Amino acid sequence: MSQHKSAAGSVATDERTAHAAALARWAAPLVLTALAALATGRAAAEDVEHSMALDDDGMVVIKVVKGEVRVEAWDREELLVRGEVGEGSDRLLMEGNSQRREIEVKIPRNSRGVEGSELEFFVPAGASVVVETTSADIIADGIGGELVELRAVSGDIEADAGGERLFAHTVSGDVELESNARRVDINSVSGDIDARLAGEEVDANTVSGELLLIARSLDRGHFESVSGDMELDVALAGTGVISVASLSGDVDLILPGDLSATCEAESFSGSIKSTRGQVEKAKYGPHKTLRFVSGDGSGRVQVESFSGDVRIRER
Amino acid sequence: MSSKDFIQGPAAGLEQDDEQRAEAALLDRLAALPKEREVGSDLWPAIARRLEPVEAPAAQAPASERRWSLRSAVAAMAVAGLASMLLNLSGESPQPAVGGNLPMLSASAEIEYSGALQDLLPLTVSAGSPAPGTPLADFEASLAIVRDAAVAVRVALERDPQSRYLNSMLTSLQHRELNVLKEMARHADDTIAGSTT
Repeated sequence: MSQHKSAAGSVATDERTAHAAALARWAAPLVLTALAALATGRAAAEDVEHSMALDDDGMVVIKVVKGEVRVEAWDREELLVRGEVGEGSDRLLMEGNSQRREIEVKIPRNSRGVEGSELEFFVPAGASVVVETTSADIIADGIGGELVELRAVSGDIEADAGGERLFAHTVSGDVELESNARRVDINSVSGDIDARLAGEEVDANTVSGELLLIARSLDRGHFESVSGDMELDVALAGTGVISVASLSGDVDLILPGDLSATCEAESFSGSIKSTRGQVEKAKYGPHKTLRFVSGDGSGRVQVESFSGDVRIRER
Repeated sequence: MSSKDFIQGPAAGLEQDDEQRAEAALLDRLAALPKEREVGSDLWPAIARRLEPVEAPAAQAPASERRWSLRSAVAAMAVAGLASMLLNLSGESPQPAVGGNLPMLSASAEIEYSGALQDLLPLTVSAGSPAPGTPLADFEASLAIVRDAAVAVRVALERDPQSRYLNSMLTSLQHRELNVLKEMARHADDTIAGSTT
């Protein structure tokens, strides 16, 4: 009997031990995380989903240091933000009213080791959008308010966007852009640029990145590189002006066969090759020039290079 | 008449003797050119004032001080931007016009560029040496690219000093350098000071 009681007691003790062990297994990570967060002052990653009114002609300013920002247009007058705020971030700051919203992932003092935030934004199709990041990539789809301004330092920009004015600026990040924005300004230091544009005014500028661009309804285009190569497949809408400047990067300019423009190219020491016109070489020195008139010559195409080679050909 | 006109114009269609005479005339004319070019006024005092050593803030200077400096730097950049705008307004293209006014405007832009640079540099120095793979390391690498490019353009300008697009490119690179520094300072400010709201 006593043996029976003893056995039953032993079973009960075993069950309690098992429960305690299970509880410990379940709770230990939470306790450890909480203790670690207390010890390091780091906040855990947080899933967020917030919705707020935003007018169709309103503006949203998004600031995220690290991670990825996706912005998509939808047909509601509402701003939805959802995703994960990275571990170690301070909080998601949301300010403003239905005309202007500012959403920012705030980072704490000495923010080393903060994890990236992965956030997705749905914005009214007509709203202006400004996104500023440091290393976070920016992916934009379908947005097209009066202003679309995408800025990253080392993050890449990938956008399919329209609207009135579009800015895509990076330092070392790459830019991949499709846009029918009327006016486009693309800028990088070392990042490569790949753009297909339907706008009328385009400025694309890089220091050492490569510039690959298609824009066939230009009223004004200015393309500049210091050492990066440029491949420009461009066309003028009427009496427009295209100017291309390079220091040592090569220029490959592709023009339509039915172009109506006066074309001039000049290189201090690089070569000029063209399927149209005759390249003139200076009697003294390496200087070369090219001039030809195509169609009624109403537009103007000007290419200038210091030591980069210039090639002009028909599409 | 430009030197290019001088070379290409009279030389065209001349017989060899005429060419030699033209070459000799060209060499004489080159020899008669002044070795140095004088500017309209002595710009050095203004440059020297701007280049006075700036007392670098301590590594842990209060964020408020650094933000004040950033404001003054941004103000200086606005002036530099205005100077550049003056350059760009002088022609229909974004390139500065060549002509009598260019050297003075360029000198003015150079002074403002130096001033803005002096304001911005201490802000970025306070960030310390960046670890590889960090945004600050990206900034440093990009700055090196921009500065190398500016040196290359200056070298090119020595060979082709009247080039409008090279002058424009140099101005553009100076703006880029200041913009990268401004971003770098802003980033350093955010990283060190953390959230303030």
